[in-house]
Amino acid sequence: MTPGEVDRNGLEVLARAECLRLLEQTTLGRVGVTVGALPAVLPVNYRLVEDRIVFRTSDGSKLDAATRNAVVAFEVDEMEPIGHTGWSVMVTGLTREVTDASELEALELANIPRWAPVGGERIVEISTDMISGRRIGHARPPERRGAP
Amino acid sequence: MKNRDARTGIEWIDRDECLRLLAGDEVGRLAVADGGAATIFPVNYRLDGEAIVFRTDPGTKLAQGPRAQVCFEIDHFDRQERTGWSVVVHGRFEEVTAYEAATFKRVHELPVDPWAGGEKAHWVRLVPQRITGRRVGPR
Repeated sequence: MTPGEVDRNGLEVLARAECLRLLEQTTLGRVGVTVGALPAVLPVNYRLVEDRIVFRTSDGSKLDAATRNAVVAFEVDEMEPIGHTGWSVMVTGLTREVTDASELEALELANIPRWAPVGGERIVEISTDMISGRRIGHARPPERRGAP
Repeated sequence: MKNRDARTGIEWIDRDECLRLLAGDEVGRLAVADGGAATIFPVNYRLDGEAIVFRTDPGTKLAQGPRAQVCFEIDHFDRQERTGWSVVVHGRFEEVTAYEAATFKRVHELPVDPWAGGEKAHWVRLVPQRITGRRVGPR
């Protein structure tokens, strides 16, 4: 992929590094799943931890049922209606439940958000190996991490 | 009288309020089951009655075929206040063609103005079969 590449709709195609930077900035995403072959969207709070998307599911919830070793889509976006600008990042991947005690302990420090908590829960992660992103409107130069 | 999920404390939003929230926004996310796995697209939309109208070009969305089952979502969350809501619509795609003259005329008058480029000559309606909404946080 070349820098400044645009797709057929004139949207800027974002590089993986920029997609990950954007995923790191927000904590609300949407999981796209199929339930009985039908598509469904479920909003979820998440954190990006070491290039993986990590979120909680509570036992017995729709999200819980739909993210057991399933291929899911994960989407994050930010849209600004006045200027018609925005971006979106899409990840497709297999969900994996985090069960290893040391991994869970490490994730505890990552402070995975929890808004509607009750009872038992699972920690689920999605790899970001398959990631794509688009930006619309006037592109800002990316703020590089660690830049002076 | 609030309708709440006893387990999670999440408030259910009734259908009329869901439609009001849908009428007040213009960008949502459309999910289709493409080859068995879900894919999500942000789209600009407007309401035609209870139907969600958007414009598209030939591609993954239209390739699902006429009357494909899809899901549409909008949400708003406030991280500081830890409040938010989401509305989810399940229904079927239908492309609006000149064969349905009245619908065609009405729908084409909607200010569906995609931010993205491309011709977007296909006008699509999502006719809801089920509309659900949820709200979290104090109210």
